Amino acid sequence: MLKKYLLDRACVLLFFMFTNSFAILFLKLVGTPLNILYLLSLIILIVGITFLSIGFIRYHLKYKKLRDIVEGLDRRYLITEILDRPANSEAAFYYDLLKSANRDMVTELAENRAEYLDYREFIEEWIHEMKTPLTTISMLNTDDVEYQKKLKRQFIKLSDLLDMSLYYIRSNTLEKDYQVQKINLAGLVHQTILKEKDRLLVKNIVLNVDCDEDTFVYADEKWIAFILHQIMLNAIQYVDSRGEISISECEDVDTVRLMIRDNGCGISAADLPRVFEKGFTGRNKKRDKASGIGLYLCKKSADKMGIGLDIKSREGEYTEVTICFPKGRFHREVLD
Amino acid sequence: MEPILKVQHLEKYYGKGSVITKALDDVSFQVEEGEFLGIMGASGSGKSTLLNCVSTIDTPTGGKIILNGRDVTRISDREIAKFRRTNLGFVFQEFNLLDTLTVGENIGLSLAINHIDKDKVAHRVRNISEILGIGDILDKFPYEVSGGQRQRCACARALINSPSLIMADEPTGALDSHSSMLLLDTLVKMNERYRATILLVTHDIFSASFCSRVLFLRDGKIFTEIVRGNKDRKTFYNEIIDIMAVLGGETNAI
Repeated sequence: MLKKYLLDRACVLLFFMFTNSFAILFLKLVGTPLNILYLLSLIILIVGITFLSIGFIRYHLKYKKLRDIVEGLDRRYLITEILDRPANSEAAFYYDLLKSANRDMVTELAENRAEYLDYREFIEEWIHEMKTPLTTISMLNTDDVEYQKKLKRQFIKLSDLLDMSLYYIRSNTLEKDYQVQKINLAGLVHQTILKEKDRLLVKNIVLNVDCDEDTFVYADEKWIAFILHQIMLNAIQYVDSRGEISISECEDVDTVRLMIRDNGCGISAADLPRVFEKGFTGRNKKRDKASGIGLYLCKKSADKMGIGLDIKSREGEYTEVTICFPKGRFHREVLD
Repeated sequence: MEPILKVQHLEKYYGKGSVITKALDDVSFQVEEGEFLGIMGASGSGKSTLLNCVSTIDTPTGGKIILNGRDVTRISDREIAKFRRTNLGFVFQEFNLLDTLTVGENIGLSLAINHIDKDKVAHRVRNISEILGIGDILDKFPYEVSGGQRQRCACARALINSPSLIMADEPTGALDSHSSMLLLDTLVKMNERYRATILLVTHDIFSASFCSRVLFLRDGKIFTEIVRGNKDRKTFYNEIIDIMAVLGGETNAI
């Protein structure tokens, strides 16, 4: 630090050393007594050192203060809004540069944000618009029952996909429409099953549900329903015909856990740690049609809500997803 | 037609130590030529900050302020005084008149600084002061006339170099109700006769009801805006009261 300080002032220091030596030499040549010269040199030295020390202390304090401010800042680019414009003209020049650069950056950020929100709004609107014609199509009647069934299946698939897109868009601002409610877990499970009864029937899947009617959790119902639905869809997708899906629940001191287990193809140990990644579909042939968004979205929203989501599996044997709800006393007290 | 003033994504932070406050949060709006725009909001809503940014007194953290096609945040310090003198007019709560000059001299001051011919200055000063109803006090000193007259004198001074934008920051703040009424009438006159574009910052509903459009600020964001249209002043006044009630501003009208 001291070295830097001195180096910055090297030019001035050298100049003073040179002029002082020159002056003393000159005084000696004109015949000034030696002891006066010594005194003079001593005075110059003391004044010089005092001056430099005071300067260094101020320099040190100033930089320490600056560093402390910057370190305490959340968004460091706002530093120019906190500092006063320095008096030193060189520092002021850099301050002005920094300020105008930051201004451009903040402006661009705001413009981008506006553009993004605009785009998002459009997509959201568009998805909603899509739903109306889709519903109309699903209600068209034909005499061909087989055809009607196929149509219905595709309709459900499409509207699930649309829902997923909506949830995907909203997941970025989940905190904005997040409402904690008291949810009956068994009720939610039954709703989800009801929603997928067609697919369950087609595949002849055996369902074991073991949920206590009186278990309640505190979370946003919409999002939990979405997560549960995604997990169910996966289970139905990967279980074989006449396979088994069991949904059970267990409660301990500070958590309520909901387990959805299927005895389908499972996930290989290599793929397992990556299933929550965006766009990850794995090497399983059956997963060719997967989008790699479903579980990613579940995990992302669960994380934001403070809900645990865990997956266990053995290839060829089973897959088990656990949703883990924390039991905060606060919620119980406030909402009951 | 291009609007006179375009404010885009304006942001302003204030800070002390390591604590930062957001005074303006993504404020965007436009002002057309000849508009009389009011900006309302409770104290601390950012309205004065907004005015200071537009009037180049303060520099924003981010965003653009385009006045007459020029981004005022990018004008250099050297040009800024001249830019202010030729493009902006100010009316403050404290009238900021110079006590050592007569009313007439105060009005013509900015023209004199710009080296404009004496006779022309005198002519324009007389013209404007007559319209604003202060023609007979031109030779008096500011301390010899009433507060209302002083404020109208400040208006005349703001108007004289036909600026693109006149900014008034709580101009009725120091006036009694009669003088306030006269002053607001004056502002309306300036707006209608000279097509002067006026930006009026106020927290007074009565003042705001004279505007042709009112923007409401809350917590540094634009909360909403209402346009007067063909409504009479009383209806508009009531509309403003309704919004202020939602806004939770400084009003005991409800």
